[in-house]
Amino acid sequence: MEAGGVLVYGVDAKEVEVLSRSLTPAISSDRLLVRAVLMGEDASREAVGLSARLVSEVFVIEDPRLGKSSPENLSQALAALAEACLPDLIVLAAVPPGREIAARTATRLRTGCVSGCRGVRFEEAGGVRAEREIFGGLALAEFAFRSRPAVVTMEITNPAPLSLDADQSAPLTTFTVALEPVAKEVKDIRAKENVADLSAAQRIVAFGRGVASKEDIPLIRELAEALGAEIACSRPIAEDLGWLSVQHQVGLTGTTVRPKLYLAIGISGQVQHIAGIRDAQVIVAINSDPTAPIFQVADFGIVGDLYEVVPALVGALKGLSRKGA
Amino acid sequence: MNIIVCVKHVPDPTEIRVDAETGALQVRSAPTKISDYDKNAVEEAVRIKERYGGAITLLSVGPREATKTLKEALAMGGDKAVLISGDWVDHLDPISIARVLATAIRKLDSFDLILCGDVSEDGFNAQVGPSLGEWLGLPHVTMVSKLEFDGDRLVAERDLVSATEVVICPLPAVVTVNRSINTPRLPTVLQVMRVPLSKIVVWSLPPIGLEEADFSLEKLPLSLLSIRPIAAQRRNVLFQGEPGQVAQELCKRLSEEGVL
Repeated sequence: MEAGGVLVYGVDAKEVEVLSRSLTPAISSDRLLVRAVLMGEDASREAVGLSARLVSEVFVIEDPRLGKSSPENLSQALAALAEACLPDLIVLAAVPPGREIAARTATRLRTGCVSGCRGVRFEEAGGVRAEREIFGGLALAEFAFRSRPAVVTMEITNPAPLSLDADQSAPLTTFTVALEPVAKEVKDIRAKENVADLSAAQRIVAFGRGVASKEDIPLIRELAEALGAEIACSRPIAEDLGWLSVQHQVGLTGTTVRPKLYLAIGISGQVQHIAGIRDAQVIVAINSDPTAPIFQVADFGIVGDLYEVVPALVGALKGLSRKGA
Repeated sequence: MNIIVCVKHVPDPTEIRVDAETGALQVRSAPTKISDYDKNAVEEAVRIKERYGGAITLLSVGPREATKTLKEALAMGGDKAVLISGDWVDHLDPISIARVLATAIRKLDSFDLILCGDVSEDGFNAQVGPSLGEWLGLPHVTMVSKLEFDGDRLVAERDLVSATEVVICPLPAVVTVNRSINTPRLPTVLQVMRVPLSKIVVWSLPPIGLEEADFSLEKLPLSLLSIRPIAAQRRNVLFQGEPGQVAQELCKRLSEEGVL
């Protein structure tokens, strides 16, 4: 079996595709070997149709014990495959299942793992370097791997689609592993109701501790409605006070958002919150404290009492829509 | 139900500043504290002990100052604490930290459950929990928002993005908790002060069967090459004036920007 190159693990073909596409700009060599692996009961069916332009080979490990909720089993299989095909770099998605599989796989292989990478690349001499945010997004750290294989989880972005030749499917290679399966089981999955999908919202009105009481939230909702925006909040509002569910929480441990417009009302601008809004097109801050860090990351800011500014904004917006602007 | 809770002593990330002149991160001058997620883990352990009995051992790999974090956790209801400390602690990657934790755990009394936070407030890697499971040959459950027990198994609710998953797992196991699992009790300053230092055992590596040389810079899988502060590049335009007027100005600007 060939050795070297990149091994991409995806929970399904789509994830493999997105990861492989995200990888290509960062790893510029056309001759770099990129292979993928899919696991689970329907792995070979899932693998059919992955483009040979993205990966040169797809390993298929078909085993009903390799279900989505079994990172212990999945990492055993991934480590076994890595010991057979000896990649220089293993890439998984920086989502909870991928993170867990990556950590256990790296442990099993006695190697290092860099999670939530923004970028990974091969050096001239073959070394692997990975870049990730630290301290809640305050800084970017670059790591070099001394061990092999390097294991990383990558933030999934939405790369520009390649024009793929549908006929050229990557060849499949069956791989079998001896598992020591874990007796963990998923008993039930309940979909959450009213899932606020902030990650897709185009306009967001978020509030923080500057809002003094739960009874004041309707004021914020009025502004959100006037803007056609989703409502959101900072960590203390959701996690500590429980005024809104954690689905509404924006920040490092909440949702990362990419709206056209983000209004931060009564939010001081802690680093972990900023980490979740950096890709917003326009950030507006309203805060009574002129020294609040939020103003450093805002495009437009108003230093003032939100209890005066927010109603004024609602009025101004309604005036705009009346004029048909 | 004997529980080991792994806690991390971290610089308070909200207090880390960027030096305006040099652009360097000022980490050393930031105050330090227990990582919030680990506090939820300690609280959960105390609640389990209140219900089922047993002993709680706190474990940390960190600088000597971590005794501050361990005293706080002991005041919350921990029984004893072990700190693995030394100069080599600073540059450990998460998989290596988990290795040290696992090695120490094997030296401790038998346990039914290992608890820690989903992530640490400084690294946000989410690696230590699952890695610890792998080092110890145990299953793990992450993102736990509710934890209950049924005989020799745990029943956990996991807080996924758009669903809640219920998982059954045999004990012993590693469980990492999220912040919505509980509201940690706040020990008073006096309660923390009253915790005798004799409840904290401090070990270097040899007592747990490892050597400093195992974690020398050349031996570690990752090396940190550089840290660059991320500069926010925003326009920082401030509107001044009375509310009605600034509101109008802002709306006009936003309309021009095409974001309304």
